[in-house]
Amino acid sequence: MILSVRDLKAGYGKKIILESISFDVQPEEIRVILGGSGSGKSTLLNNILGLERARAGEIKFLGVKLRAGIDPVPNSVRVKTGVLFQGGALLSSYTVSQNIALPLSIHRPELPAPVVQEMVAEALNKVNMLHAFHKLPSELSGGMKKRAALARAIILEPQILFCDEPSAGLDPITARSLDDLLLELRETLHLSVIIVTHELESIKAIGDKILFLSSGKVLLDDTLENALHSAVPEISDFFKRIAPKENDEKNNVNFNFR
Amino acid sequence: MEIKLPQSLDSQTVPLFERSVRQALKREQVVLEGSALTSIDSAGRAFLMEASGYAEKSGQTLILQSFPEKLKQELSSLRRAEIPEKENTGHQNLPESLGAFAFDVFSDVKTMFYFLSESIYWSTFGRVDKNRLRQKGTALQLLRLGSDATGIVFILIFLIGFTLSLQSAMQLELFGAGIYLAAGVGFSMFAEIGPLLTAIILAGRSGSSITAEIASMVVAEEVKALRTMGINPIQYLILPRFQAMSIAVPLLTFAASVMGCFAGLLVAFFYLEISPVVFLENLQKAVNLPLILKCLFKSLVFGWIITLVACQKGFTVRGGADAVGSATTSCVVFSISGIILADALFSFVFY
Repeated sequence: MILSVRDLKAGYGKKIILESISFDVQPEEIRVILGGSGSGKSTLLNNILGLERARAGEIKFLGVKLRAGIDPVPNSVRVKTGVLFQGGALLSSYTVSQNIALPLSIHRPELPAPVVQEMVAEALNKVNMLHAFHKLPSELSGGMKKRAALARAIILEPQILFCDEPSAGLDPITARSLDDLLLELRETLHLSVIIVTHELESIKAIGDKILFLSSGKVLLDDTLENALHSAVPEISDFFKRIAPKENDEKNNVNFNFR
Repeated sequence: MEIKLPQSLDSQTVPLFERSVRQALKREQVVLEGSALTSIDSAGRAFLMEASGYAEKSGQTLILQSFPEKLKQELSSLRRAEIPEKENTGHQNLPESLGAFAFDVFSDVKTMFYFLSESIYWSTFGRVDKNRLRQKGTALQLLRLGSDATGIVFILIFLIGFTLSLQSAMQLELFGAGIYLAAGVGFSMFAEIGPLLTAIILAGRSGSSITAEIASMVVAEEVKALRTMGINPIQYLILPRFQAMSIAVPLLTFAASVMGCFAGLLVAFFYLEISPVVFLENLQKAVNLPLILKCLFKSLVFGWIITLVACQKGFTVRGGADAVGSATTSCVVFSISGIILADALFSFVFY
């Protein structure tokens, strides 16, 4: 098992966002985390990654058992973890190649510069962004930034990749190509992927299993197929909401015509 | 009550009867006669939805009479957007607000001491731990935060030194005590004006730049990205700046104090006609080694205040671009206040 979360509890101040979240992620599985706004999807990612301090729970991360909110995520785990943030989060003062080389310079300082350069070029090639080698993030479009950030996330050949809304703000064609890229990387790098997304097309294209969160609790932990046909009203409503818009009767204004 | 609607229900015509429809709906049924209507724009649709909602609330009926079929269909497909209740997150009364303020200040100071202890540790004993220390960029920060500020610091201190010397010279000359200008300028430059003004200038220039840079990185999730890559943001972002400011501020302060004294020398020579040799001899008597060491120590502490406040404000920013602006302003205000407070404490301890 790549990741196992048990009874994770998290919140901000007095507000509890996640209550007793438990789920597992298998090798090479693409796990989609779903839920409405404020259901705690991003909080869950941040707590697993140790970016926020959880209240309670246990996380078994790549074989390392951690007490959530107490044990810091060790570097041995960090180097096997890639993260793709919503906006890419490339360092704006570095060029694309410097951004991608950054994890190498920190975790593999012994590597000679020409080897690092070659590795960066290879990572950029994997995401079809070699042309942006010398560019600054400000010179890239939203989709290009995410591809470059993906190259940075995979440069250390991680075993697990976290993606926070990778399709957000992208046009449908770019979003689909990013999905294809994730599937390809799963095949070539044998990655497990945990992804937060609201794009129904993406969910159908890449999701193996769904973790549906509602009011800080797991409402469903099942395969994509079962999730799509779930009879739970909140889940079926959610899929209806994120599907391309059709007329619904909710909030109709009833005028009295005469 | 019946109101005949014009040909077009739009932003031009809605204000003409919106108020009267609302007033009427408080007490009676309202009929909007729309046989003349040919078009309705977004303002018109919003008016009809709002009036319909208002009628529901007040228990009256709003009837749309003789509307064209096309407009009926258009209106039937409308959905009301429900505005959510505004959450009240503010503090209700004075004691609560004061308590929250005190808690925030305590939390800020705690963060600054944490940054200080980490920076001192990684600059000293931690340097041995090569496996855990991931730091570079001190030289670059020294250039950006210190060297690049030299020009503005020198110009301002020279001008202030010149003004101060000239005004002092005018007063001293009245008593025939012009010879004491060197001692006065030298002491005030090294004991007070040099360290204080250099620190204030650097708080405005370098401190704000540190906050803006770090806050922008926080807002763009770059700091989170660093952490997920196993890069300690304190080592990567704070340590180089802390070390650069620890070197740059004392050096700049010393150089700026010398520049201030040079301004005094010019005034002494041109206004009081005191030779530079005599001026320097008198300056040497006033500016001794303990004074210079106190000056350097003060400026080191001022440099730490600027860096720690700037980093704390940068790291704790929440929100978007406007929050970066607020954090930068807050950094300048708090670092200058901190510097002046520390200066007052030093005056008690040193003099």
